[in-house]
Parts: sequence; structure tokens; C-alpha cells
Amino acid sequence: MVDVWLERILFYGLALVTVGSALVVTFGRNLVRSAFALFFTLMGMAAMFVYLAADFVALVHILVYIGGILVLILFGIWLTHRVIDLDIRAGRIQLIPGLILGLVLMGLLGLTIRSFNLAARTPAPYRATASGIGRLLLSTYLLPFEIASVALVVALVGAIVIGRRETSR
Amino acid sequence: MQDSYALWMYLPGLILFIGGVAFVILNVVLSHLIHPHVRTHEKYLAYECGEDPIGGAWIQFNHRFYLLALAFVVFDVEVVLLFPWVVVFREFGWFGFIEVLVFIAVLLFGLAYAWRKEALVWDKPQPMYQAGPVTVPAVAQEVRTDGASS
Amino acid sequence: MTAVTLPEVLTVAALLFVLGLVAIFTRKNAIGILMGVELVLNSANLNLVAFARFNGLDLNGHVFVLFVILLAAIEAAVFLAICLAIYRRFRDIAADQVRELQG
Repeated sequence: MVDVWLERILFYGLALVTVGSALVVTFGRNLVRSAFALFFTLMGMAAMFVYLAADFVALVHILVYIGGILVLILFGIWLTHRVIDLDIRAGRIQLIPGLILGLVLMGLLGLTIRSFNLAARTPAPYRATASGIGRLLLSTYLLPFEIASVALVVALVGAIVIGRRETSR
Repeated sequence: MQDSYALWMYLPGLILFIGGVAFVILNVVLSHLIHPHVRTHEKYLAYECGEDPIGGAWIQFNHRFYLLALAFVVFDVEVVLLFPWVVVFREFGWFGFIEVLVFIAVLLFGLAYAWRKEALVWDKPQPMYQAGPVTVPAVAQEVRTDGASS
Repeated sequence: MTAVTLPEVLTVAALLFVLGLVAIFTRKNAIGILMGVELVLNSANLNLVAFARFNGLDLNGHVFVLFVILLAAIEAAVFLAICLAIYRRFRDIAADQVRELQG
């Protein structure tokens, strides 16, 4: 019984961190601050993956999102702002329509979640997932696995072509 | 509720995380409390041979940083996708090995392209000043003599 | 009484999804929009992982999450390359300023 409450506290703590920093990501005035808030969102997300018995996915999430994508985003911010923009103010457009749309969508999603009887489902016990994922990747998902490498190469080539300095001259 | 005990497996990781954060905070706070607060003009000068800072800290990065980060992300994802194969390497044997060779061969093409297009070469920024006799501005001379006297 | 039920996890994911969508709608800066996209993709991942856990730890969902993360990395790389190209051309990446293609 103590364990159950500990788990709830853990999950809601993580949810608070994740959603709270996501609020900063969405509504923060300073873009750099938003990027650092995104770091906390991603960390909370990784911890939630661990809680949801997805240990390998959590690892990949930290490696790719925090080690890669967040660094790219920070480089993107620093490369696309003039020296005079000492504090990077991020302007907003359509704030009121966006908020209304968000609230309506949240209501719809809440109703959808409630309309299914999902609360009765029981969680599966914890186990290591990496070997199972490897088996699936090399059998059922073999073609997507190979195409993933093609997609990576296409992204690399495309980003180099677009991103090189020489193209602008 | 037997399986919820499995979450305790991650307790060492949590302790390590908290310990790491606490270590950083503790050191910053402690050094802030302990160090002497004597502010003299010399302390704000660049240390020894350091350049005097000109302009803000928001100088544009070299674009090569971005291209290198990009290459890093692509091969990061590659390694991450290879890891599940390593775990079940024995089960799949040669079949899996050839599959992964194809996977890596395609990505090697990307690496060869990046190499060929010199995306991995670090091009140095153009020197801002012509080489020649160095003229020291009067202000800098003043600062330098001040520093030398102490 | 179970610890955390599936609808609670789904609600957190829905909150993140909505926040990401609002960021996409209201941000002017292109990189702010990218951060919103990342939030949306993350909430989808959370949904997949949650359903996997409450469905007997079905690993198909985890493989899907791997592919989503891979595509998110690719998308961020190309998106930021385009941002840099636009910035070099217009000296600005605000979504409502770059309108040369607009009729």
C-alpha cells in the first residue's frame, strides 16, 4: 500500500515537472529560456518512460533528444540571432485563437479518454526490453530498419546541401 | 503489487542524479559563501594573456558547429539503432550481421558524401587584421602599465 | 487499488500535446515552432509507451517510438538547416516576416 502511494507521488511529481516546464516552453518570453525548459520536459519524459517500463526507449530518448536535438536547437537559436538581440524576445501571434483552440482540443481529448473504459487495465510487470526490441527490429520491422538508414543519409545530404555557406553566394 | 518493487531497481540511478545535482549546487553556494568579496579593478581585466572582450557574448557561431552537430546527431541515431541488434547478436548470426552491414553501408555513403563536400573540414574564419606592426591602443597601454606595477 | 491507471498517463500526454500545438500556433519564431513540434511528438511517444505497458508490455509500441525519435531527429536537423538558410537570406526567421513566396 505504501508502494502504491509512493508510485503515485513519483508519477505526479514527474508529470508536474514535465507539464510545468512544457508551459514555459510554450509561453516563455525568452527563447533560450524555453530551450532550457525543454531540457526539463525531456528529462521528465525520460523518467516517465522508465516508470512505464520502457527502459531502452528512455535511454534512446536521452541520447537522441537531449544529446542531439536539444543541442541542435540551441545552435539554431544562437546562429539565427543578431548580436544586438541581447535578450531573445520571442514574439507571439494569434495568442487568443491559439488558447481557445488549445482549450477546446484539451476538452475533446479529455472526453475521448473518458469515453473508453481504460482504467480497468492492469500494468504489465517490469522486464528488460532491449532484446525484445532487437528481435522485432531484425524480423518484423526489417524493412523500416533498413529504410531508416536511407532516411538518415537523405537528411544528412539534404541538410549539408541546404546548410552550407557556399550555397548563398 | 509485487511488480512495483521492480521500480526500486532504479533507486541507485535516482540517488546518483540527486547527488550530482546537489554536488553542483553545494559547490556553487559554498564557494560563494567562502570566497573573499574584494572587488578591485584588476580583477575585471582578462587574465594574463587573455584578450580583452570586445562586444557582447552573442557573437555568431561558425556555421561549421552546426554541420558537425548535425553529423553527430545522424550517427548518434545510427548507434542507437544498432544497440538492440548487439543484444540479440547470437540469435540472428550471419543473417543479422549482413542486415546490419547493409545498414552501415548506406550510412557510410552519407559519411563519404559529407567528407567529399568538405562538411567535416574546419574552415578557419578570415583573420580580421592584416599582419604587420602591432599598434597598441593608448588605453591598453595604460592598463598594461597599471597591471605591471603590482 | 492500482497505482497509476492508463487514463491518468493519457491525460498528461494530452496536456503536452495541447501545449505543443498552442506553441506551434502562437510562436512567431521558427525555432519556437520546432520546440512545439517536439512537444507534440513527445506526447505521441508517451501515449505509445503507456499503451504498451498497459497491454502486457507489447514491444511493437516501443519499436514505433524508436522510429518516431529517429524521424524527430531527422526533422530537427533539416528544419534547422532550412532556418539557417532562411536567416542568411532574410536576416530573420519570424514566421510572419518571410513572405516572399506569398502571392
